[in-house]
Amino acid sequence: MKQRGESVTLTCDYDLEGGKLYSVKWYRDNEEFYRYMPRLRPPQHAHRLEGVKVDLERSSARRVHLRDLTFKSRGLYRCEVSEEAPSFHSAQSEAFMEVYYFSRENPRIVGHERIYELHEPLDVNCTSAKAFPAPALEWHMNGHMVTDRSLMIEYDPEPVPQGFYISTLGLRAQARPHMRVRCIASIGNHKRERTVLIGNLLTMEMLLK
Amino acid sequence: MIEDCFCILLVPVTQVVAIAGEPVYLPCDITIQDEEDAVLLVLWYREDLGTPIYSVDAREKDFGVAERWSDESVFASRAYFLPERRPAELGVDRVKSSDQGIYRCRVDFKQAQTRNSRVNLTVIVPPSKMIITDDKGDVKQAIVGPYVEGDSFTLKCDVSGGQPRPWVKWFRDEIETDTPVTVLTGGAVRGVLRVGPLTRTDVRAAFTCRASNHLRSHPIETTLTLDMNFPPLTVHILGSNQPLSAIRRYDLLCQSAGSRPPASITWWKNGHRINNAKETLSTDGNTTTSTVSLQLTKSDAGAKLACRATNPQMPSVAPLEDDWILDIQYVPETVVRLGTNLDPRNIREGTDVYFDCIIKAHPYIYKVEWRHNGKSLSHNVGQGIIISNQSLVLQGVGRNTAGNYTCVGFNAEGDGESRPLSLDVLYAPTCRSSQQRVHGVAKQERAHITCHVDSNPPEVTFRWTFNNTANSNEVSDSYISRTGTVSTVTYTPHTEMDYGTLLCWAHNRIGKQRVPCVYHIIAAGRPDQVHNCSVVNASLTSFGVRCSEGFSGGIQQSFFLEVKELVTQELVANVSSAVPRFTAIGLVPGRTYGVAVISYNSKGRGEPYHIRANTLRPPEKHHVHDKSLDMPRTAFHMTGAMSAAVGVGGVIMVILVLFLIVVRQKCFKRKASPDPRAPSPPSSPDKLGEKDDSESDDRNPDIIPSEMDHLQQVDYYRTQQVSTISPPLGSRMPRGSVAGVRGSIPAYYALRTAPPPHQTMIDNGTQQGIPPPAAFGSGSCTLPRGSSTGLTSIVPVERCIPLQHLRTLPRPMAAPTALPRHLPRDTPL
Repeated sequence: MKQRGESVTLTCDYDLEGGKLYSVKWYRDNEEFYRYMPRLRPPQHAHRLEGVKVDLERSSARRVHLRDLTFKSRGLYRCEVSEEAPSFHSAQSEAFMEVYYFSRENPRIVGHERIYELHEPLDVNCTSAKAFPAPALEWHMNGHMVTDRSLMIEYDPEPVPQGFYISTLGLRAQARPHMRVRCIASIGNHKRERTVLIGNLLTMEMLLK
Repeated sequence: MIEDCFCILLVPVTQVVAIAGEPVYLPCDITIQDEEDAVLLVLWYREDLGTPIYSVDAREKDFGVAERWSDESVFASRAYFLPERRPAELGVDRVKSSDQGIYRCRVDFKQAQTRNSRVNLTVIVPPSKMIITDDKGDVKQAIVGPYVEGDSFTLKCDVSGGQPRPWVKWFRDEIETDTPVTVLTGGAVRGVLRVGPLTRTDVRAAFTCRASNHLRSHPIETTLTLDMNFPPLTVHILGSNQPLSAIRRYDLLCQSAGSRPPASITWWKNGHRINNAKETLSTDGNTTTSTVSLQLTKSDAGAKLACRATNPQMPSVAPLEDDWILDIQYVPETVVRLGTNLDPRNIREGTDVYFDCIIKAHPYIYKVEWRHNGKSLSHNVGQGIIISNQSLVLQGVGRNTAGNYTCVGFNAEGDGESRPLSLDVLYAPTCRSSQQRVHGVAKQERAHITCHVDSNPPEVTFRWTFNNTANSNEVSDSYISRTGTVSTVTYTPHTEMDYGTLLCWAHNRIGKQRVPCVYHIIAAGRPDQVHNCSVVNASLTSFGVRCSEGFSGGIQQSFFLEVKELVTQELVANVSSAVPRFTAIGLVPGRTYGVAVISYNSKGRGEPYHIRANTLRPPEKHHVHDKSLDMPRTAFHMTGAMSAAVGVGGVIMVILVLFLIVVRQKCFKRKASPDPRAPSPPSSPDKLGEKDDSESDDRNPDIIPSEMDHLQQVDYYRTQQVSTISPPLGSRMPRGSVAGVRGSIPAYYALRTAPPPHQTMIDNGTQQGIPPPAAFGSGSCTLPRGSSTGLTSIVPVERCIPLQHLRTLPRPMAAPTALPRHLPRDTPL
């Protein structure tokens, strides 16, 4: 998981067990972007691939250094190591690299300002700030995560300019007294959250009395 | 950007399906985008293995000759790379089910990005085994059944093996049926077919179980043909219920159709099996035809002829049968029966006889015919033959009526003649005709006079009497012997009085002979001259002579022929014979001979009859000498000579014949007028000749020269009144009889045919020294007596003397002409 604009070094560790190396090939989504073939001169060669900017100087037979990651840099990265003839014994390994952007801005909650009667379904939505990929949203009521999907309304992520998305999740749970509602947006381990209190008519009347 | 998440899936995957055992081609795109680029290496991986299984290393060689390597444990030598194809392909022969999997082809280029592509290879293994079982669990391979109409059954088709699991379907005559399928515990797939209830049309239905697991793999299948057994549907005797003929042999046909397997046909007559039938089968096997060859008899009429058809495989089904009540037609069967009140052993002349014809016939007769001794009889009341319905009546039967009687029935089948019924007609004895009635016997000569009578029954007894002018005596039994219907009396005249008439009387159980047989005993004399002699069959060295014999003189006569050299009078041949027919042989060709034919008996010789005869000339002698050896010419001359000879001879013959005709006509004219009493003359001299001795008595001595048997009685009374036995000398005879004889002579002349030549008559007559009676001058010219002249010589007068009369009548004859000839004849007496 890398943030947009960062650099990354992908390593490919192998043991030829005394064999001779024929090639190390790097693919992003099955498309080759870097190879290391010791018998060729130069042994390094990078293919042009959108979102993949190979730093040959910082790359070798066992690693590849990518600079200026963009959202297009994300994908399934695979290295394939092959022995020399005659067996061309090969081994490969792959890993997905996610490239993200997560605004510092917390999600915003709307619909909690009005007064709900007791047991009235809430009409509350949580909308993330722009991000990539679309962040996941979750609701917590009084410290408990809402898992009952029937209490929520899931909206498709909404694309916004520059390739970002905003996510929205509605909460329709019944109004109860003393409701503390929290919305958490997350991309990977990165989280943004906001918490609001919801008052209701009954509660208000009780307070007034 | 979100689509990028799915980029992994963009690695091209080609689906390839192969049939186990067949080759397969795995595509791999090796095309280069840039002409300067090149393929360095092609690697084939199987996804579950790290090591390539096949490689083409072109880093140091051209691709065409690049090193190929194939993993021995995977494709080994079965794989071969085909770079020229578009896309290039890895061929793999004899694909195995273990080859199934995902393969990756990696192509390293000199410049371009490495290209990976994948192939998902599916290997289809066809199902291996199909077993069809019937309801009983028996395995069926080609034929199912036989079943019968109404049967139902199921067939189970179990298919094992195959990858993926195959489908199983039943087809009936190539039309798919709804097949319930279950998977058995062992993994086999079972398809079930239910058939029935069966009808005849289901026979030979083809049930096919077919199983497969891929369109491209050949399905395995088993076809079963339905076999069914049917009882026969029809059986017919062809052409039945027609009448059959008993005399013919028939080939009767019976056909049965509809049986499967073909019907077996048997024939029965009144429940008894007929065994000689032969069966044939139509080409479609549906129709069996049985042929039986039968010769039926009358007794088969009404019999039931049955043809039965059975299916030998269905013994429990009752046979199908066609019946025919036989109508037999036959040739009428006839039996002749004598009238019931008639005793067949005692039918006498004059009786009325009737017969019945008993007839069995089918169809009934349309005609009945009666036959007597094989000759058809017709209804004739005048002759006493009455035919009505199936009866024959014979009125007043006579001895000629006796014989075999048959009746014949006619119908369409033919003519059925009965066995003959012999009708025996009894009658009293009568004298048999054609006996020697005149016997010339010398005094003291023992003569045997036979009397032959006709008699039925033939058991007869005889009585003889002797009559002469004086008296009538019974002949003693000691002189009489009998053999059957013949009686012989041994008679020896001792005196003049012993010449006369012997009378023979016979009687049998029917009665007495009404008219006796009459035999004249006259004094025996020399035989008369032969007459009518002619030369026949002349050759180079031989000729024949034929004559008619004259009166024998009353006893057995014989003949001889003398042939003399005409000039030298040398005797060259002497031939004896019992009849006047001779052949003289060993003569010289081309000669003329004098020939004499002489009759003789124990009393002496008759007058010789002279003629001349020539042997043929050998014509070839003249020409062989003076002509060349040219054969055609010789032949020509020879024939010319012969024709000349023939011509000369012919002329002579013609003259002779003309001459004879003239003479004859004159004779006839003369005879016709003086003989008003003569009955109608016999048509030929032969007839007269036949009469000979037997007739002579009847004509002689009476005036009426009758020869008719039925006048025998009249004749008899006449002869009784007038003595017929003449003494050797005419002087003893009554004048009346002489007159009668003389009067009768011309009558016989009228019967003669050849008139004598007149001119020479007198001269020759004088030469012969025999005074011819003028009245006889025109008589039998063919009966010369004492003539010594040959054929070409002048016919003597004597020829006109009718020998027959001299023979038959002369005993009483006192005529002067007869006298000189009687004298020499009588002298031996």
